Amino acid sequence: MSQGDSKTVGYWQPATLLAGFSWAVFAASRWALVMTTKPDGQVAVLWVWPPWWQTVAIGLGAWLLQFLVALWQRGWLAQQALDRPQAYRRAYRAWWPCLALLLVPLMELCWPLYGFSTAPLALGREAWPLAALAVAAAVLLQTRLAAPELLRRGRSDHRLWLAPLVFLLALGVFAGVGVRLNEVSGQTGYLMAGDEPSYLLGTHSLAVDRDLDLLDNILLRENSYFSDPARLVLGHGTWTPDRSWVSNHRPGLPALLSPFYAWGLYSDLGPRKLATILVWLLGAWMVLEVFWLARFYTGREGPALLSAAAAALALPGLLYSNLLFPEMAAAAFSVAAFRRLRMAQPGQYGMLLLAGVLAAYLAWFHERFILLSVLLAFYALVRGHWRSFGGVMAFFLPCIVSAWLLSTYFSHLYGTPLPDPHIHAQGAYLNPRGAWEGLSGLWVDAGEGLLPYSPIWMAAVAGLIWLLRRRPGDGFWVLLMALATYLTAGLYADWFGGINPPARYLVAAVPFLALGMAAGARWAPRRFMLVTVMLAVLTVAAAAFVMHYPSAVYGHSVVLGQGLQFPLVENLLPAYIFAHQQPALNAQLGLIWLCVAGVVVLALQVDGQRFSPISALICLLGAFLVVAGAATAADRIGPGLTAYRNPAHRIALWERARVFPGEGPSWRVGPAGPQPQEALLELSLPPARYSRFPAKPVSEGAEAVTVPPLAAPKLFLWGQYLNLPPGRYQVTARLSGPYRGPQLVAWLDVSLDKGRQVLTRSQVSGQQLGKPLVLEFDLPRGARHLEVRVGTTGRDRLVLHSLSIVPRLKSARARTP
Amino acid sequence: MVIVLSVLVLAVAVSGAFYKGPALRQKAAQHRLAQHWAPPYRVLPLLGLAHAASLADAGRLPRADLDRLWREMKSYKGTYPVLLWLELAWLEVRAGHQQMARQALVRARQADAKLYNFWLRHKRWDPWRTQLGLPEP
Repeated sequence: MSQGDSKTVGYWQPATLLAGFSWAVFAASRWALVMTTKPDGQVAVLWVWPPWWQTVAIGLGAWLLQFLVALWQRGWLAQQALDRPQAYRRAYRAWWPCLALLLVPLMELCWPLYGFSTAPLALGREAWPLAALAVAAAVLLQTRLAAPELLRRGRSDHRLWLAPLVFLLALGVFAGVGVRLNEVSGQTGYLMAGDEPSYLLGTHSLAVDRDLDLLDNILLRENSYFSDPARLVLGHGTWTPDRSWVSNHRPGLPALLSPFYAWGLYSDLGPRKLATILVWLLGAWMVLEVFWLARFYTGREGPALLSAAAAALALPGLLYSNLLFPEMAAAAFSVAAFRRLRMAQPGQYGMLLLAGVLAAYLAWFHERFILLSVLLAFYALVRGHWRSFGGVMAFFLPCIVSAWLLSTYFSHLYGTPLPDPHIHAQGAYLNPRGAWEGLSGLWVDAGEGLLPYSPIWMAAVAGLIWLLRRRPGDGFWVLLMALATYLTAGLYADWFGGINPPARYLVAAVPFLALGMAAGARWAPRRFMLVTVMLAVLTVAAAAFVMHYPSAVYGHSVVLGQGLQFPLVENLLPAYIFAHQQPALNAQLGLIWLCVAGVVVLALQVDGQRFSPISALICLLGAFLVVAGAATAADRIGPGLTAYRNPAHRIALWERARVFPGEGPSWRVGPAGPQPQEALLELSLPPARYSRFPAKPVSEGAEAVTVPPLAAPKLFLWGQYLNLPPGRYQVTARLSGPYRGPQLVAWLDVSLDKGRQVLTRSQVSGQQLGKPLVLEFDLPRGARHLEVRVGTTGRDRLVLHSLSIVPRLKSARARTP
Repeated sequence: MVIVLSVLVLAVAVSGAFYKGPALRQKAAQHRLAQHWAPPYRVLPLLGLAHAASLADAGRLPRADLDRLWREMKSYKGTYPVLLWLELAWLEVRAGHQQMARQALVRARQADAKLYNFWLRHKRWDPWRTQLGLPEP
């Protein structure tokens, strides 16, 4: 066969053909609209397809793309140092992993068909880009492994300009986040919550009064320099024995912030803005320390850059680079002290002194960092710095002096030489609800956990184990530092960190976790980078979402499921703090997902990797099945994916239905039940959830509410605050009452802007009670914070049985099958 | 060495404003006044200026300044007036006007008796407890 023949004929190999077919089926099946309902407790699924020619065209397009990529891949491999027949054979075989894609539509269809669960369906609908990415990355990886001589490790030269560049880039990223946060919140916006205003009031007191007593600042309402003047900030304070009012927070962070804050007051540029610059600098310093340490451990710049990127770009570091909490400062101080202890040679007392000062200062941020200081002291001993008197004095003298000062500080202000849980820990350090809550919640809680926002840290944990394997001494101490932060936070009663963005207490572990990224990139098999890329995509997507809507991460809300049609994050993950699930249920859900994370970490520990596309296919199938199985288990244990508590999920379906090309065939899987068009698109607005006094549920747990006769008209239901896409909508209410005369008994309206703009309104007479009341309205440009409000004239008792809203789609896309 | 020097230069540069200490309150209040804050919170920078002046001059304040504060406070419609009345009482008593201080305290108690009693525990009031008839903490 000539070379030209082999180029064209060669594509028609089973592996490449099946791969093309898999991509075609996978791509074509992504465009269907899927709705679920649960008539009689059994799940029914309705598939609505676009016109058949669109489906076929999408499938063929995907196949064509795969064909072109396969041609390019074959040509590229042929140019490498392989003999041509071997290169072609390997090129074709590298496509085997694509068969895993067929599993996705298969699970979507079969799982609900046999009544198992809708979890794989939901995953397939929402997370299919990840499956596609995983398969594409596996093909790429196998193609690279087909030419082993290409897998050269990077050079070990150290470029001097790289470290300053890392610092400046990190500073730029943090400043960019600051600009964005300022854009959405303003200088005195709603973003500030939790401890931040209290830290700022303490900073103000230090900068202006040079004391810790907050009374002057409170009476003068000086929180108005950084927050709403109408708001009162008391500084989370307490009375001292000499009757001063001081903050419960330690003065470490305010002392650092105060010079910057003072510039803000002096220049009128905004004290909070100026104080934030210090946190940017601390964050960039932390990233730089991570880069230096990772380069030292791995001897490579590439892995070190990966570590620095994870520390800078992944949550929670990304967000805490702009929040005035002590977390970023503690992260920077601990990793800087750690690196200096690691690098210091005998006689380098300056370095040890700096490490000692940094370690000593940690306790002034919060007593939970004392454990890090103690570990650093042990590390100094292990590194042999006890051998010289100068070394001991340089490191330990600042620590001893600081401990004495801190003890004096506590004695003077609180009358006790040691930190007392009553000062600022709700009376107990250890979680009275059990250790598992914090230990699992810190990782996988839907609203407060680290991994839902930054799954890349899963790869970092796997990398830390590689560091432990290849450099046991260093790996042990890095792991210990990360573990100490995790355990201190996880066992703490306030493990979620109060009212603030999630995984606050793990920020101090970020630099040590980030070192795992470098170790994984340096020593783990190539699949580590495959997993890292996938998790990085998820991490960046979550970070982008949080940057788009930063205030949502306050207040213990579960925000990452907002754009999803299926409530994956809300219903499958534990939600300890946003308490809508039983604690025991949360514990089980946490266990399930921690097991999945454990499987990932273990899979990245298997050493060595060679060209084996069939193994890659089996691993991909296994990974898909593990995730689908875990989701199915969580679906069975938890409230289930068909439980829509959050209107955002239904509205995500409306948005998809609105842009759906429509008019194709439809399938129904499962039992017959309500007609799909309205029943599956309808959003119930349970009256009991949105009603206000004097309305009250007719019985415990009931959705209907009753309103007694009143002397004056009164609004009794509002506050859904729906963000709706453009379209026409229909609101239906069912009201009843004893009065059936002609006089008005109630009204119903649809409004925007907290009731200031009424879109449509209907008066309800006694004669209309008992019949469905319907209001229709158009939203040409969509709406934000829309409310459906119901009021009573007070004429007689009323019962509001139900309230719902449904979009009126232009064409009956969700046709009755 | 470059890094250490950079940090030192930065530290010296940023500590310039911090060095001013109590004068910052006056400076910040003047910035506010220049922005022409509208009621109800226009009184905040005025109180800040008066506080700074009182500390700087052993409590002495021109009667005209205190009278303006009274006018502002009588028309104040913002949140937590009790705190501002307490501050005014403190300014009055430091200026030697005990009768006016008592009046301000009465206004404070009328605004919010709970917060009034709470903040009167502070040691700030100790020198004048007997004169003003304040309860012992």
